[in-house]
Amino acid sequence: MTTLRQALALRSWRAVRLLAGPAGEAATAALRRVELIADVRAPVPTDLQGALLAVAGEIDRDDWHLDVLIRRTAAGGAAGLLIAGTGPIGTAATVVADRLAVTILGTDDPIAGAVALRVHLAQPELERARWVTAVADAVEGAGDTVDAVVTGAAAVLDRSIWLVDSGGNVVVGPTSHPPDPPESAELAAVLAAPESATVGWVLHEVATDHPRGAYLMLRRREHDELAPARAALSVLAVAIAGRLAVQRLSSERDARQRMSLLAELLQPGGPVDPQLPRRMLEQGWRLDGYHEGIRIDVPAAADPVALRPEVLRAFADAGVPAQVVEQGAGWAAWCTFADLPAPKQREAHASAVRRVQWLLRARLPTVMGVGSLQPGAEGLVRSLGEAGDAAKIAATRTAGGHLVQVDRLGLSQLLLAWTRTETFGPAASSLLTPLQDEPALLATLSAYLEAQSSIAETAAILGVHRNTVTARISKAVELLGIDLGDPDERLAVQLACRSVLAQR
Amino acid sequence: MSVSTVGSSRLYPADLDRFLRGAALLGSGGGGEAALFGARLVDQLPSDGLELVSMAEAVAAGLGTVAAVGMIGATSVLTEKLPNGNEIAGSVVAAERWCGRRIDAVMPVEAAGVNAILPVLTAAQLGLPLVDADFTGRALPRFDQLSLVVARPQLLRSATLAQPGGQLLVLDKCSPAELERAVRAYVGHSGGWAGATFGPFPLGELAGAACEGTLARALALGGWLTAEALERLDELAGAVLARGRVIEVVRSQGQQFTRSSFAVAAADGALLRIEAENEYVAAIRDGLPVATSPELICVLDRRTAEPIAVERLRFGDDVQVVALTGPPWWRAEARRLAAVGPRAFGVDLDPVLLSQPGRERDAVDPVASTGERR
Repeated sequence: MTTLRQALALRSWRAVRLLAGPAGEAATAALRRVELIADVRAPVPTDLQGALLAVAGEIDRDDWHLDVLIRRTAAGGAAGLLIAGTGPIGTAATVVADRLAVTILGTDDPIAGAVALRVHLAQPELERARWVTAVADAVEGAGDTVDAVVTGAAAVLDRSIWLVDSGGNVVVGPTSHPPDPPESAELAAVLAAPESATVGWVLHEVATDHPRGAYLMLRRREHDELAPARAALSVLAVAIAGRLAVQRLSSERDARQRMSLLAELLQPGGPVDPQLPRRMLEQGWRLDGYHEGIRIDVPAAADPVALRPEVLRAFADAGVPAQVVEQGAGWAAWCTFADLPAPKQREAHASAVRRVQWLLRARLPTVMGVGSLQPGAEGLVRSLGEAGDAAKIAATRTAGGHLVQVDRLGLSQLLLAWTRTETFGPAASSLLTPLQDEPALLATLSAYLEAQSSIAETAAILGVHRNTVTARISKAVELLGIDLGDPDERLAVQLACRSVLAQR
Repeated sequence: MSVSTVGSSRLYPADLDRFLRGAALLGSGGGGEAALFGARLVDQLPSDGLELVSMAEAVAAGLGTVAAVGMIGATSVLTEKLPNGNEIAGSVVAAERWCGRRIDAVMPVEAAGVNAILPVLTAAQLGLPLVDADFTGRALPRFDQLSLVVARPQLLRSATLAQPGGQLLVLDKCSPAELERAVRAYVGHSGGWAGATFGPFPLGELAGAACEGTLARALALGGWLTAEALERLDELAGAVLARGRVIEVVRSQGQQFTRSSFAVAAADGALLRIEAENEYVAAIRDGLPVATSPELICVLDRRTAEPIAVERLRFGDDVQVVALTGPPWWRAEARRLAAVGPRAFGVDLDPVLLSQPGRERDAVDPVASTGERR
């Protein structure tokens, strides 16, 4: 909102002088419009609320007409009066101006002054229009993806724009430096208090049925007004909501296709449709080669269709090429190898899959079961069955990061059965007594031993730093007084960990 | 010759002071200095007073013709070019001789300021009855602002002018505009002022074309608007527009007369602007017109209650500005009002009249009375 005082500071109003009436702090009446009349004898509008009354013609500065004009300016509720000429006005008019609290300004060209002020007052609207038009154009020219729309809008506005979820996680937007990606904590703080003007953000909710919600955030520059940015984001939000809806629609259609295809494949007695192999190929699924089934379960409240992109991203980030199909309360996924992979390669792959689970658990309470490598179409069905069983076991296994790989299940089940005997149980408890009050140490030690004494692996599973794992292991070793280099001792401790954790 | 009718007013020598003050008030800042002929009038007034004969009484008494008398020209020159005291009487006699008819009575042309006094003097000198009726009811500067010209212009055909040096000028068979042009031209080139006689007019034909009772009003006004009454004026009647000091005086040459603009900083904080020609024409309080001609706007010395004329009002004067109801004759019709309203003086305002005679105090600034802006 512009005040008379601010107007006087405008560059386009350099020629305007204060002649009489309230000035400085007092001249804070809000200016919204300019009323221009020809001369002192012209009729004065009766409603001048929020207006500057500008008189184009010459005015006798000692004349009673000026008094009457001041009077009408005051009666109409105008913010001020702009007259021709910058010379001082008469004593009488000065008294009247002070008395009626009318600020009188003078300039050699009142019409130019009025026009300049009108332009200035229209500036916010112009700015808004500029932003909205720019975004509309960007949306028009951008592709069908949300990423393209957000990136396009950010480019035309020359501002950083992010699409984030309610947790402050960046869904779309620059993540490299520059342009200075925000911390998710920072985004979360803005989401919590969207109206706080000090944070330098403009926030707009995107209408979506996504479980985590979606918000557009724009980082304001120092002199950015709020209104234009808000208007621009509201336009962008509508465009994004539209694309999200289309995306959702198409992904649901795809999901239905995938799900029915998988259901046919898994049908007891084998597939009946002779076209099935062709349809699977169209989906990009290979039946030949070796398959490793992976079952990911999530709580029933989660929407597997909506969350599938996150699962895909986790696989991609971990470098695991996999097919992912919505199935029940979770996903059926599998990796296909053309040939039976070498042990070293399988080891790397297993580690990558563990990383997938770790990445997923950062956001979702997932449980993962991994089947064994099996050849051919029947092999895929069998491996997926194993994965399902493994997932059920993983649901109760915290030590492995809710991940069970069926390759190791046979041995572990055997050992587990033994460690639960009445003789071993108390012995295991007494062996681990020093760690009784250190659950973190026990969990870390257990995970470390499960991860084949790999510090990096353990860190990945627990989601802590490697150094933390090293420190905890050293402390646990010190407390227990054992040597993990000794295979006998290591085995004993690992079994004890299994036993103790199983008892809990 | 005397006319005896019950209820008529009389002007006694003892009433002279208040009569002079009343005449000055009716001048609304113009009309010349009434007190100038005060001393002379004391000598001339009969000790049992002079009767102010109303029009009805004059007609009833069978008076046939009346001459309207006064001085014409710049009143300020009266003190430089002194009168011999017989100019107007001389012009009456000349008019009688020119038209060959007896003049039965005299009346003022303009019963305000010095022109309220001179007809009384003339009546006393000539021993003629003084009819209390005039053509202005207050001070007004031009011939087209005479009630006779507004109502019955065909009656004003002649004027007889007399100068202190004895020169006489008789104008006849002229329209009022021609008469004014000729008179002004003559006066302007022959010393600034002249004693004048208009008419004679048949008394019966003046009904409805003259302001009646103005001399009596002068007597009454001068009686109550005294220094003692000044501070109680609110209760008395007329609207007090401002009490304060003159803070600005601007004088400029207008089309015909000098234009003046005064600003009075009122003690209550308001600013009163007064626009004037020969008389005070309009009063504008804080940008709001509060009184205009034909109402009387009087600027009084705050200490003595003496009216201050337009040409004598100075920066720093401590004054009280009062508005009094103007002559009823002018207020009666829109056409009459137009002839004497502010626009007739070049002030482009609509006439602002005090609400009701006798209830003049209502005409106060509605904005200022609420104390606040809006």
